[in-house]
Amino acid sequence: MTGRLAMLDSALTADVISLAVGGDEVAFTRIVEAHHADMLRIAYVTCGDVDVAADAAQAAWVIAWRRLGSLNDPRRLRPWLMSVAANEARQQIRGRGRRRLREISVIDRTPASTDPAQSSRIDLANALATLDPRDRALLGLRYIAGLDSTEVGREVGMSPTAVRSRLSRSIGRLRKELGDE
Amino acid sequence: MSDRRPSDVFDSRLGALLRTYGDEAIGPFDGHEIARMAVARGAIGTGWRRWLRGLSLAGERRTLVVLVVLAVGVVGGALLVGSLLAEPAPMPTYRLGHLAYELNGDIWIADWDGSNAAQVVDGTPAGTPDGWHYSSPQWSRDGGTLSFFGHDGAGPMVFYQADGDGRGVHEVGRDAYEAVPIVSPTGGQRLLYRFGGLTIIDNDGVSIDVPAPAGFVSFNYWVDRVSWTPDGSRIIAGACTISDCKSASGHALFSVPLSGALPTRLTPGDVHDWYASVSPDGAMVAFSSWEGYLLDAPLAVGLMRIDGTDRRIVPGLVNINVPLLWSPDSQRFAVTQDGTGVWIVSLDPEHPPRLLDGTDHMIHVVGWSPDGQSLLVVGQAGPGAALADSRALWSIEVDGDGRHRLVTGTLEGDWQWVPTDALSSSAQP
Repeated sequence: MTGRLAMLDSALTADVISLAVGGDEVAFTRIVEAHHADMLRIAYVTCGDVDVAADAAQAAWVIAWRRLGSLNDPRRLRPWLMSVAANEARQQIRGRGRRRLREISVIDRTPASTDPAQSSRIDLANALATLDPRDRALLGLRYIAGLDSTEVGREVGMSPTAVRSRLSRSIGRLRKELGDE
Repeated sequence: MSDRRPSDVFDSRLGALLRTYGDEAIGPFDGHEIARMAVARGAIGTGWRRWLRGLSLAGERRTLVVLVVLAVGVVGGALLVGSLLAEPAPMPTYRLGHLAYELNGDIWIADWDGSNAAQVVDGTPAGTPDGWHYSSPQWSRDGGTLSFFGHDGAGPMVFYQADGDGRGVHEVGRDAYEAVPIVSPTGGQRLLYRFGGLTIIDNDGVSIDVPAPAGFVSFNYWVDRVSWTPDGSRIIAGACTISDCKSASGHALFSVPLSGALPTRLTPGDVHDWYASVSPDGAMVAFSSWEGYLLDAPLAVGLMRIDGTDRRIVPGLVNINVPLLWSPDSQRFAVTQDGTGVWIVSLDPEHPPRLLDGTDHMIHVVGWSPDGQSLLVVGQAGPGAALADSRALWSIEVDGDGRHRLVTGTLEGDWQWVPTDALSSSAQP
């Protein structure tokens, strides 16, 4: 976990979680404000659509409010929230009949941009589109949430080795798609 | 090894790329408003009903439990159940074999107590490019061979095999991969996933595609959810009716003969039954059962006979982590549960699941000792130790209170210390 993320988690003490579990909306708001941005990022990497990502993050908070009390270890709060956001993004894709990122991306059909940053963004979006949403979710959990493979595996029901293998394959494919070989 | 490739600098900047990409979804947001909406929408108690469904209770009892749960609270109730189920037992004596594990991309073997550790292969020897990684050591059933895998994250996965003592490492094949293969009980075959299905490759490079059952697109491609039968004649695997195996349809478990005959369905497929684990005597299958996906429903433990009959959910044990590991005598299996520790589940319904005392810092079970008296478990270095700092391999007596920390590893980034398997049944002193 990066230092920034560790600071976030340390700020969200077990007491805050306990208060939220007890129905304290102010405490719950504090949790939302600490994690919502990264949940949006992960949802967006997973689904490739800003609106879908926003809906997914909101749906994830509904689940979080309902099930926060089942979280036995406060250190699992962040991995848990991130995995819920990723999963909700995948659910939203299914619910809207948008099973593939490439089907909802229109920007990749436009002529090549002269802005290097925009070109990189388009390239990355197209490269991500070659991956299954589940693989994109794993990438988000690893690289945006900063979770290690054991933490990712625990949240998605995979062994750490399987997580590493799938990530390695996804990274290899992204590198190929981005011409980074 | 000659297949090492240059360090992948791409990986190091992927995080920055993804974060920048993810920033496109970020706009001004009102945390209080988001929280308020979540509270309003979450006020309906569907979450509690899902939790209760996970307890596999009949409708009348479910209603009663609703009242009880509302009265005492979910967390307090779960802690109370856990404490009531914990029970001490007498100290056994035993003699044990060897273990193999992965440490920072290397493969090691050691005596059961962690002594006499010897490196089988070095993933990143001095003077070579970083990035080559060995993983997933798996003993053959007789302990005569040790199989493992190597890859650099981009090239093909290379299959290696060594003698049971870790000597004589040689390559036995390579292939593009989707997940770490599972070695057959004989050590002579590997089950791996390719796009569209499962393939079995033997040490001579001969491959057999496993046909998907009629009406199902493919088997689940997380191959570690597949279990070989002890005689190596068939596998128990989950399949679904849509290509991406999501929650729109359930997973059914199938018994798949490797003779080429058609698979036999074992479970209905109305929920997610997966991560099958066949008992050593081949008579029973333990599996995880999910009514939803991820956190929409608790992950429960199921049991059935090898022919799919007598399917049942183990009551009172939810939010478990795979794998489910059988004892050598096939009479019980071990599983970890988030926040509580290691549980022992007996086939005897008179013995409810039992939480091993003092295992709250244990992460997952790796294997049983050959005599069935101890478990090999990955956990934190000690109770209260920072999870991100270090992990340890523990030996825990199942029917006693003895526990020994065998090896402790420091984590560096993602390539952390993860022992994966196992104990050689033939290596007992």
